[in-house]
Amino acid sequence: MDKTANWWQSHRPSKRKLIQLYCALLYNAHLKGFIDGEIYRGSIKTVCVPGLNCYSCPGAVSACPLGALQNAVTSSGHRAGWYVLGIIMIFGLTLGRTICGWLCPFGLIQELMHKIPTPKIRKSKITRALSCLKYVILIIFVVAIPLFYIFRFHRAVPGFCKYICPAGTLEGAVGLLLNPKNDNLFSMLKILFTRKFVILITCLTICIFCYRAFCRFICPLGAIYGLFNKLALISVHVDADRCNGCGACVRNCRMDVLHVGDHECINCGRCIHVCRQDALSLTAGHFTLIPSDGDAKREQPEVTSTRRRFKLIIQALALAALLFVLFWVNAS
Amino acid sequence: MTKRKLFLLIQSLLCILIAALLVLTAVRLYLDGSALQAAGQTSEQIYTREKIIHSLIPILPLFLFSLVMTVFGLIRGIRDENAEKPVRSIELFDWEMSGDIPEIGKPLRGHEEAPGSFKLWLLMMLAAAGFIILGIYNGSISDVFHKAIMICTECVGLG
Repeated sequence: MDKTANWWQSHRPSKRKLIQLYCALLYNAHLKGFIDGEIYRGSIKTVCVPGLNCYSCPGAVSACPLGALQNAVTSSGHRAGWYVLGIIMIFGLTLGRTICGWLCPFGLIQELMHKIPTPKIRKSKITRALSCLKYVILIIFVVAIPLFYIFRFHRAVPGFCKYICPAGTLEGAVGLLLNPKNDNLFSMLKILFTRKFVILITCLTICIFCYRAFCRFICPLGAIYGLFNKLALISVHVDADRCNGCGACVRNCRMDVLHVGDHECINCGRCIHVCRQDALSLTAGHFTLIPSDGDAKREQPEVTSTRRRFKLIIQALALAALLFVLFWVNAS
Repeated sequence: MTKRKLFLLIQSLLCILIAALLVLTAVRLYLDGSALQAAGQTSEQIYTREKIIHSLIPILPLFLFSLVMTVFGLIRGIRDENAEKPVRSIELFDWEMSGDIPEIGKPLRGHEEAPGSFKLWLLMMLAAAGFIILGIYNGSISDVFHKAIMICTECVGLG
């Protein structure tokens, strides 16, 4: 019994993993779509989810911010995409790359692939250099290609979605094609699907060996949110009085950060538990979301019980929201 | 070589092999299908459900074996322990760079809030809220909706 308890203690999913699972289910709550083979067409699709989640997935209940951004770029000739710009700014300024670390379903898929026991590729100066690639992809595929096609050929082409996005292939194509009611879609599979399938398999395979390879090197949405990381409300806070500059946080971080909270930091909180000086915590403004390990132990009982009560309320609200969305999108 | 390293190596080779077979299967199906279409058999689809299932059957035993190994490895806690160790250094270049990149061991930077950053944050939040209102007013919100309720065949690779 003790052995089982110890095993469960060391292998149980972390809070971050549970939140990622919750978000994956919330964003894809249209479970009826997997049975019917139809995508959701309700009014909730006006809203963008913060993470990368293809809106052509049968389960998707909201729009993808990256797809919506590319659509806005292609529509910029006749109508400025202020709405998408505003939504992305709100997400970036409140959450920054916390979205990547906690709220993105494709980030969850990458982390689950990374759990497959194989030798792993650790970060190095090569991975640090490669992390700049996503900014190049952002400029070329998200901005330049859609603009080129719309002004040259008067055709809307979402560059990243069409040529690269593995989330679209996995969630959209595979999600739709698995349903026998969509057999008519097989006639549309040609070179584009072959190319995208190869990219998907390559991406997932690399993620087995290299932590969050897509997130670190390719995802333009992460690139956009990274630009807001310094200003974001939720961030890793460094207590300058306690920090001794040992660099343990940066060395143990699996992302290509140069210092905690920079544009590569996904606010996963790993550095908080690694810091021996209790100098790090995850904060939202003046409110501490995840205290350092030492501070958590030294916390006054009344603070701990307030925090616990607050957590229970948030969990209850989150569960209520999920049940509401599940009922609303599947009942209609 | 320890048993742990051997296990990890076999698992990695299996994963690479499965990925390679999946890629080759997709490419082969495409090339065979396009050859048939080029030969004038236009009724023949490049991909069909039956062709895909038939092609995946040989890969299935490998996949299942890899899955069993993964579950076994996860239960037993077999993993690459070097991956858990901190890296020694992550300097981008060999020579010392002036500017923003701190050396490991020097006090961390970026934790002091730059003066006026809250004002900048507030201004940008107000601008974002303004953009959303402007987007509702000029109809760009309906562009998002109309795009999201249609299957984007290009986005999912359906052409």
